Formats: sequence, C-alpha cells, structure tokens
Amino acid sequence: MRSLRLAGLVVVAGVVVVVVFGQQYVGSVFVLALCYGIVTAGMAVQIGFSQQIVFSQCVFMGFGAYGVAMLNTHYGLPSLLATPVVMAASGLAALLLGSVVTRASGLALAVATLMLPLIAVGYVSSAGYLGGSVGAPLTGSLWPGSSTQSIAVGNGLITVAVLGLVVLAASRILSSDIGLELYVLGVDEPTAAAMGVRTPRRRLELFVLGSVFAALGGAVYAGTQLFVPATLASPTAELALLMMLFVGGRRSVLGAVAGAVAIQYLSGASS
Amino acid sequence: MKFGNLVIAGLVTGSIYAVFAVCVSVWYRVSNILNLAVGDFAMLGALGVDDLVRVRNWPLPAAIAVTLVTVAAFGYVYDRVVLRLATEGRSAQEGIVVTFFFTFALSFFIDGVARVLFGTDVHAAPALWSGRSLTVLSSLHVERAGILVLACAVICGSMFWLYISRTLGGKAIQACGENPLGARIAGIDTRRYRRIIFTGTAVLAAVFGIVESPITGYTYLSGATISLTGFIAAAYGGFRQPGRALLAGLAIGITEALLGGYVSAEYGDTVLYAILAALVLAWPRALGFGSAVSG
Repeated sequence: MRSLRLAGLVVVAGVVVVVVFGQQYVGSVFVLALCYGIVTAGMAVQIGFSQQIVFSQCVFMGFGAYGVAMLNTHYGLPSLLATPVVMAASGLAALLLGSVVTRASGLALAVATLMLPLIAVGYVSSAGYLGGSVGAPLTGSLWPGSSTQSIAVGNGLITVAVLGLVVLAASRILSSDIGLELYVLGVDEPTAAAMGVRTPRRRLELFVLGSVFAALGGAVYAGTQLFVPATLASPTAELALLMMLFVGGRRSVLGAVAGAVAIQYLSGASS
Repeated sequence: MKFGNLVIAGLVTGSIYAVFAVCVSVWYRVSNILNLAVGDFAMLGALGVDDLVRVRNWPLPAAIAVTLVTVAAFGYVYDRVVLRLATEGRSAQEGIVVTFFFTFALSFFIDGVARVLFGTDVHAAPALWSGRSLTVLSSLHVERAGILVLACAVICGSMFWLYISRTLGGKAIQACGENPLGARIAGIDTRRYRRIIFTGTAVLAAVFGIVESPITGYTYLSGATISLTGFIAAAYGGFRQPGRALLAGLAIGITEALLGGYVSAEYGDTVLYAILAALVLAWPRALGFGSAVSG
C-alpha cells in the first residue's frame, strides 16, 4: 500500500505541475527533470539501497534515447511505439553486459563500468549515423498532438505516468523480500550468500533493473525533448545523475526523484 | 621515428595523468576521500592565469602567484569548513557519500564559478617556454611545454617520493591511511595532514594546469575529464599506492598515443578504455582492485 501511495503522490503532484505549467518554460524544465527522475529512481535501488556502485546508467540512458531517435527518424516508428522496442533491446544488452561486468564487485565493478561512458561517448561522437558530436534529432514526440500546447501537456502527462510506474515498481521491490535480500547483499555479500541469497543472480538482476530504468528514462527524454545530444552518454552526465541521487537521498526512491527535480530546476533557472 | 614521437607524446600526456593520479591517491591515503575536483583546480590555474594576463593585463609572474595563492586559500577553506563538517561534524557522513560526494560537489561548484568568470571558450595560460618544438636525435620532436610538463612531473614525483619515504611527515601520512584511529592515538594530527595534502595537491594541480594548458587548451568543463583520468590511473594503484598510480598514468598516456597513432585516431580512446575495462574484469586482484568502495 505504501508503494501505491508513493506512486500516487508522484503522479498527482506531477499531473498538477504539468497541467498548470505544461505550456511554460518551467513546465518543460519539470518534464526534463522527470526524465532524469526515472533514471535516478532506478539508481536509488541499484546504488543507494543495494550499494552496487556502477557508473553505466548514462550509457543506458543514451542507449534508450538514441534507440528511440534511430527508430523514429530512420524507420518512421512513432516514439511511443519505439519505447517498448528499445526497452526490450536494452534489457537484452544489459543482460549480456551485466553477465560479464557483474562478475566483478566493489572497486573493480565501479572502475570497469566507469569506462563504459568513456567508450560510449567516444563512439557516439564519431559515429556519423548517430549525428556525431552534435547529436540526433527526432521527427515525432511521444504524444502526437496537433498543437504545440497539446504536445507539451501530452508529453508531460506520459512522462508523469511512466515515472509513477517506475516509482511503484522500485518501491515494491524495496519493500519485498527481494528488497531485503538486496539490502543484505549491499551491506555484506558473504553474509548474504551464507543466508542463502543467490548473490551472482541478484547482482545481475540489479544491474539489468537499473539499466532498463535508465534506458526508459532515455527513451522518454528523446520523445519529449526531440533531440538527443552526444553528451547524454558522457561521464559528465553520469556525474550529474549521481549528484541528483545524492542530493535527494540515495536510499529513497522519492528522494532520488526530488533530487533530479531540484538539480534540473536549479540548472534550468541558472541557464 | 613515428614510434619514438608517439612515445614522447604519450610520455607527456602520461606524466599529466600520472601527477593527477598521484594527487588523488596521496590524498585518499590520508583522508579516505577521492578527490574528484583535482582536475578543476588545474582548470582554475590555467584559466585564472589566462584571465589575469590576457584580459586584465597583469604581468605573468604576478598572475601565477595570485592564482596559486587563491587556489590554496580556496582549498584550505573548503577543507576547513565543508570537509571537516562532513567528516567530523554532528551529522558526520560516512561510506560512499564521503568518498565521492563532497569533492564531486566541489567539482560542480568550481565548474559553475569558472563558467561565470571565464566564459565557455577554450583558453590557455601563456606558454612559460615559448618557441618552435625542439628536435632531438634528428627526427624526434618535442614541444617545449611538453618538456616543462615532464620536468615538473619528475620534480614533483621525486619530491613526493622523498617526502613520503624519507620524512617523519611522510610516515605520519602513511599511518593516517593505514589506521586513522591508531594514528590519532599515536598523536598524529590527521586533520592537519589531510588539510596540508588537500591544499598542496590543489596547488600542484593548478601548477600543472598552467604548464600544460598551452598544449591542449582548457574550457571550464576540462576539469572533470582530467579528474576522471587521474581517478582511473589512481584506481589501477588501488587508490593507496602513489607509485603504482604514477606508473599507471604513464602507461595509459603511452598506450593512448600508440593506439591513436597506429590503430585509429578517431577511436583510439574508445579502444583504450575498452582495454582498460577488460583488464579490470580479467585480473581484478592482480591490478590492485581487491579493496572495495563500500557504502
């Protein structure tokens, strides 16, 4: 019930802001912040709660964003339909990558995954079909409205709905037996193993979960902003995501979302 | 001779990585905090001197002196106020919050201030040794700024090594890292050493920013990239071994140059990071990744 209340709170607050400010600059900053909030909610589970220190969320955020952009511009698929396709692809990619990197733990895992944004931004900046160092534009947004006002509000409401689902899923996981296992795994892995937790499997699941949430955030980002900058997958973007997580409170899903909103609002207000 | 020129270029770049890696690992050894703002101090040094000389027409020595004093004062105050409160205050933080967050926040703060003060264009401090590149052994070319960087790296590395291995202060620093509580019981002022090293490495980074910036040029965002490379090289030294961090920095610099020259100028860095990631995953313990950053 607590998870439902939490998700409901996020949805109600989000809908109010989108409906009232959706057509203003503040509203666009808010929607952008919610895109990051989708990613940081996953990070709260992965890094904050379970202490799996990985720096690959921006890579999967870029994967999601570029995936939607490519499907939209090259294959004419609407952004809303491209999102589940990209989600499935990112889940598979995370499974393959995670089965390699999650064999390491602690510092080795942190440093190995720190290389991923460096590899990603190097590749993306040089790949012509992804728009090179400039980025990739989209032709269609998440909400295919007829006027800019309806598109802005429609995109905002879809983003709020996605964030609500992510908060619900993350909170349900944390309050379940799996959440308890993840907590023990984060505090002391040998103890978790001794208690019967299948630690390699849980580590892999955690990695996939965080990556898929990040890709979903990226997909929504692309569908609402209609442009994917190459810097989205850069180490600086990863640092910004970590900052959002830490500011809001790394062990709280709601705090992680609030951190994203606060940082993005301050960033938008100062630019 | 292509190989020789690439190795020289790699040595210059590697010595920069090495110095930043040493800065990260020496301070981690004292404080158990990763300094993710070390590159931002380098950026402040380079852009600060450039601003004073180019925009305000100050003489170069005065600009360097004022910039270094400002960086030192800033580092001192940050340690005295923020880091002290964060690690020793009533609501002291621990684990990864302290390990990453406070210097990371500092990095963001410095970036924001630098954007306001210096703008977003690429700038560099004036070259301390200007002129055409030198030719060695008839076909090896070395930039004068590169020679300065190498010389600074050798001098600073030797001084650090001598200080750590031959002086009582160096022994105290080692004790702080091995067992902070034991060090305090033995009468070592761990706070003082933390402050000295933080301020000292900030000034050292600023010096390197001033010396190196004529080669690459800096923007207000350059600090994060430098810090990241220093962090990676320091990680290969397990964060606590400055000597290994120095070697890792040099190796990364040379490998980067060779990959850029022989494999692909475009994807050289990408291949380098893939190799580094593969090495970590293949031999974590042998490379010093036995320790963990825990929460």
